Amino acid sequence: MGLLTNPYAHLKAAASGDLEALRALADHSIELTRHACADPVRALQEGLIFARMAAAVGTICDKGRVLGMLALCGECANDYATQMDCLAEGIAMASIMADHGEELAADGVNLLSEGSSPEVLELAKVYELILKDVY
Amino acid sequence: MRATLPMPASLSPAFPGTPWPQPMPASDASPLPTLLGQAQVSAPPVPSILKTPAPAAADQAGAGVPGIGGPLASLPSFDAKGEYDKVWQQVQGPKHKFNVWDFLGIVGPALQAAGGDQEGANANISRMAQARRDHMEQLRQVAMNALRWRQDEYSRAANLAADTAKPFTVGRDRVQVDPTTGQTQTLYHGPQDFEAYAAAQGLKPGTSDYNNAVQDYVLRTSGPTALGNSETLDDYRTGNRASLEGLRQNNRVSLEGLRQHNRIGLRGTPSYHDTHPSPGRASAGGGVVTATGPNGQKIKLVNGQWVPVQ
Repeated sequence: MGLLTNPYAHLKAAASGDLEALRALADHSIELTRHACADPVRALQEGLIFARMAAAVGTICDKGRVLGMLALCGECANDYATQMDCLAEGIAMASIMADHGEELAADGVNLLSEGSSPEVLELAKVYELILKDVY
Repeated sequence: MRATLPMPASLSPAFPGTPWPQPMPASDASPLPTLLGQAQVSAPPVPSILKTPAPAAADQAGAGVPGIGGPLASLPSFDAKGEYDKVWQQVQGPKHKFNVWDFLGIVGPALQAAGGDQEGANANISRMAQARRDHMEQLRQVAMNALRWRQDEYSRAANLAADTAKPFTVGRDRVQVDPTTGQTQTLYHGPQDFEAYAAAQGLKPGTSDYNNAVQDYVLRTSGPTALGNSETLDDYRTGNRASLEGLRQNNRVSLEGLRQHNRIGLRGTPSYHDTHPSPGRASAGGGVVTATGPNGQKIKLVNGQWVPVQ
């Protein structure tokens, strides 16, 4: 948890599927957004790769982390395309989790669908199709 | 860390807080309410894009630059709040209909918490909130800088307008330029000397007397009044000369009459010669008329013929 002194030291473990290493790298990117020198969007997009890997093999906590990072990334992004992308992926993930019986995710999906534009929901459907077998 | 830039109090209504249409449904099994409360407290103040802008901007516009009247009244005052709102929206980029990031940012850690990783979710959510706060702070500083630039731009324009609208003196008039239209208007007409001279006599502009007075002041001894006086004087003198001429002529006439009368009297009066005629010289020379002839000889007239004297 927290900022890593050398994130590259965790790469080998992460590449071989160490869940803790993946989580550490994802958390590192979140922590990195607090530093002025780092571009938060880039840091989060890089960290999201590890977070998604962790979510693919990890628990519901890891999926929640991906959602939170997507939210943060969309919030920090200034271009509409990135925002739409993040939101669509988040909705798709929440929807898949709702299908798996997560009540919290189901409530969230309902609210998110209400507040999102139709094009985002279209994109979310595409995401849902390709993510269905992953999460 | 980045320095926190305090927002001016006048700008605070632009940040009404995070707009939650309705609270997230609480689940008995999950510690969601705790998370929600925490998230709401730590959520950065985000200007609501759902709410319509406050009408303060419209009230401020057209109020005019304080302390400067006249043409500058048409220059709207700097609407700091409205400008900040505009800049803020530009900095933030396009937004969705309502703040979906709040939902997503809550749902994620909430799921984490529901999965049993309560500590991780709490840490995550607080870190995310912190990151978002920092990011928003960064955006806010950018927005404040942009606002300062706009304000500088405005004040430069206002200064320029104020400079342009400063009254200046042309001759004795105070003249002002309206920067919005470029038209000049005379604030005060300083009367010229001739106008003051004419007005001091209680004359109305436009009347012939007034115009004459103006010409008098400018033309001095050649003015209409001076000319009129000269003409009157000349007439008077001419009249005098005429009457004097009459007097002289009368004198001459009477003198001539006197002379004629004297001459007539003189003619009627016998002279001394008349009363004392000369005795005549016929006895001595026999009345012979003599002269010198062409050859120098002495000749005498005898019976109409010149004959040499013997």
